[in-house]
Amino acid sequence: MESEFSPILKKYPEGRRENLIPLLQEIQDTRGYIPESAISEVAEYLEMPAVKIFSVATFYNEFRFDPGGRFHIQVCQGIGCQVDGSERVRKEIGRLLGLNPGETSDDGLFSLEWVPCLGVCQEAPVISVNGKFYPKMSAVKIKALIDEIKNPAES
Amino acid sequence: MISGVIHEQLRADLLKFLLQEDPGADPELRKKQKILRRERIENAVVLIDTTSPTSIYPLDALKADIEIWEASSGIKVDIVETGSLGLISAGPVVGIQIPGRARLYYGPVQVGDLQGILGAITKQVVPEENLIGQMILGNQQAWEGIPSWEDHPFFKGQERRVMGLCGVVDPCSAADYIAWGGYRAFSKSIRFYTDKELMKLIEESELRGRSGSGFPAAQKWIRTAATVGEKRYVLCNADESDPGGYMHRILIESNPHIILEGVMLAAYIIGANHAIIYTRSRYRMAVRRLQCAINQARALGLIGQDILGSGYTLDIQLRRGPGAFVCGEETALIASLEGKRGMPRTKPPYPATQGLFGKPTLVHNVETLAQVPLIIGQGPEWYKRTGTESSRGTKLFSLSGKISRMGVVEMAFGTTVKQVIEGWGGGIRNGRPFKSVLMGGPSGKFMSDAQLKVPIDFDRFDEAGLVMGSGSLVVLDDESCPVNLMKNMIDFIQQESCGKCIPCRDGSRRIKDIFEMVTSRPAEERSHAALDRFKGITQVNDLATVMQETSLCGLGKTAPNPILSGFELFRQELEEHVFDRTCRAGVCQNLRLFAVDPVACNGCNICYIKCPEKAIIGSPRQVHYIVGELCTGCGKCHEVCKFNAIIVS
Repeated sequence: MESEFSPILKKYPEGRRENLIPLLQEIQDTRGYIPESAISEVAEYLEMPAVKIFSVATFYNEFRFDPGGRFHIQVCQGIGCQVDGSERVRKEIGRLLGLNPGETSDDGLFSLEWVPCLGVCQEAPVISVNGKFYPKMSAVKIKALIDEIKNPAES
Repeated sequence: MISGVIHEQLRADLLKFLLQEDPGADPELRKKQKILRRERIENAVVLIDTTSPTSIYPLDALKADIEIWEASSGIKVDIVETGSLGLISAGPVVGIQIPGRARLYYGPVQVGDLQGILGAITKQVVPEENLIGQMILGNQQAWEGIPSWEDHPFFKGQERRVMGLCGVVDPCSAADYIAWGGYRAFSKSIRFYTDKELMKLIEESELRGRSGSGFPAAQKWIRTAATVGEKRYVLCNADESDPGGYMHRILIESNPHIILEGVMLAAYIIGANHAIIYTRSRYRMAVRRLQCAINQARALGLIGQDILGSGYTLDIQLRRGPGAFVCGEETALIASLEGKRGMPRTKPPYPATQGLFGKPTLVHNVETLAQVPLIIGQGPEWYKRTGTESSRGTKLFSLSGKISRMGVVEMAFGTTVKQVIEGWGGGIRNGRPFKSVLMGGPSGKFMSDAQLKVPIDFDRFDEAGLVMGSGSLVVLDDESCPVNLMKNMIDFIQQESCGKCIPCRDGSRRIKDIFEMVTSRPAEERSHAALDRFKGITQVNDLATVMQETSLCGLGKTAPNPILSGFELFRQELEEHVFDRTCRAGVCQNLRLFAVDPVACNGCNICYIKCPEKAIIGSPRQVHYIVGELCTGCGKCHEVCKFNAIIVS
């Protein structure tokens, strides 16, 4: 049976359990998230119960099970950023968008994620929107940034 | 670039470097070496630091700048992407070199600066603005009156061994690494030395694991090698997840080949034919560069069957860690590689006897393995010359927080934290008073002033009850709140706890709840709120001690460290949070109260406009007022006020 994920599965012909995580990673690389259909397909391929695959996939921070928003906001949780006030930035984003980490807004525009460290400690606190970095953020700058994303024409 | 293709001719030359007894003696090779090391260049060269800290800067615009200058001046410039010298707060650092003269490093370089700098240097004039210093390679002519880069306060006195080639070589080029003597230790070892002879060198070097505990490496190696089994593994833990540390990331991104060579040597010495490097999936650039290094090593025949005709076979795989802090623990890492949830198990059996797939496995982190090529290449005597009696060699530290200069420093053991902060770090940012240092991230401890003078050394730190961790230093000044940081650290642990054992899973959650109460002001202090808070805080110490004593793995055992050390050091500040409900640093958001200074306020109205809670009353050109009951303490008014008229209490 040919399916979207067959080419990825074929890369691991032995179908052993230790290939589970690389498999899921490749699926996420191509699709941006892990759809439910992929889980059942992988389960069949590796001859494992789907629940076990969920149990592994949900354990790790990297895997996500929904496509996320059009604008994916990552807020650095590194200690360097925390010392420079990332908590205020986090709360302000949560308040403005009404989102908790890991959630996507109803209009599908924003999704929010807290990441351990973005690796740009010299410009703390840092956030990234779809991979683009915004240095030295503050609660006030967040408002302006989100307004700009929402209404790009006005800025 | 990622494919790691190496030209036939270059490949032949590189193999000569590896196989000849003394490549320096062959004039033809010596010349090629000079070219590969960029000691001798034909065109001007610009080296740009392209590690993840610089990804925030518009590097493409810098390159475009160079191209524009090239077109207008008619002078050809080669652009080389290098790693980082370690100094990230002056990013992006750019090296500029013209034929025959020493290399000059500048940082920070902004878009538009480069044309001027290039123009001046090609006219033999050195602009001194943002100059870090000159680096003289081989017999290049030095610039007169220009200080050496090693005299820059960030580099002066550093003992750069593991970091030696970082920022100097192109991380995606095996040729660079080999021209600087790389892979020679490995190629010699597998052809001329037995594993026993080499193991002796490791033993003599007294190498200790750099992951925090300082376990003698040789003991692990000998045990792994002595365990009977048809298969053995070397695991390189490159899954740096400490939210305060980035030294491994910088090292991997700047010189992945040294890590690879360390892994190869370790594999040969313990008799393993398989090695796995486990790095963090989120570290996209580190993953790319490691993969590129592996591909190149394979193309050169340094990985594969019958390496360099020695009969030794080695396969190295790169695996991406899907992100779990607990996978820094060796048994959890192994579980993750086996495709399971990354949960630690009880030890013994240690991985040395029963590791990956039940086979003997040697697990080390990046920094420990990067020492190995140096030990084998230069000998244990040389290696032991730096450091202290009980801790040989050097250690990497990453500096962040409220410090003037940030970056990765490599220093000899025996230096004190005070020296690190005041010397290389350049003291506290903006000259503010020092409060404390959190060393070792979420499993580390806060250090007092007195403890800063303890020499950095595994045994001395143990005696003083301190934690070295993997080497992250976060500096706090009087505007940072340790109580808030304690809350955030335990919150991190609570998120990352694997959930296997109760003390860690529930203990961290309980402590987090208590600190949540301490650091936030309930909208209305209901009947039991104060009582809960008092009761909670009196129990935290016991809770933390139980966690420390009964958790299964290192994560749970060390998680209460920031709490317990913070309790001791910041008793006064903690009590203020609990009883007086104030945060003297003005960080704990819901504890802060804002007021308007009627003298400084000129009624610009900006705070009124920005206040999300409509808690500010006032109209233009009148003194404003903040309604305490409505204020949530978000601090926006404080941020926007240009006249310092908002006072925090």
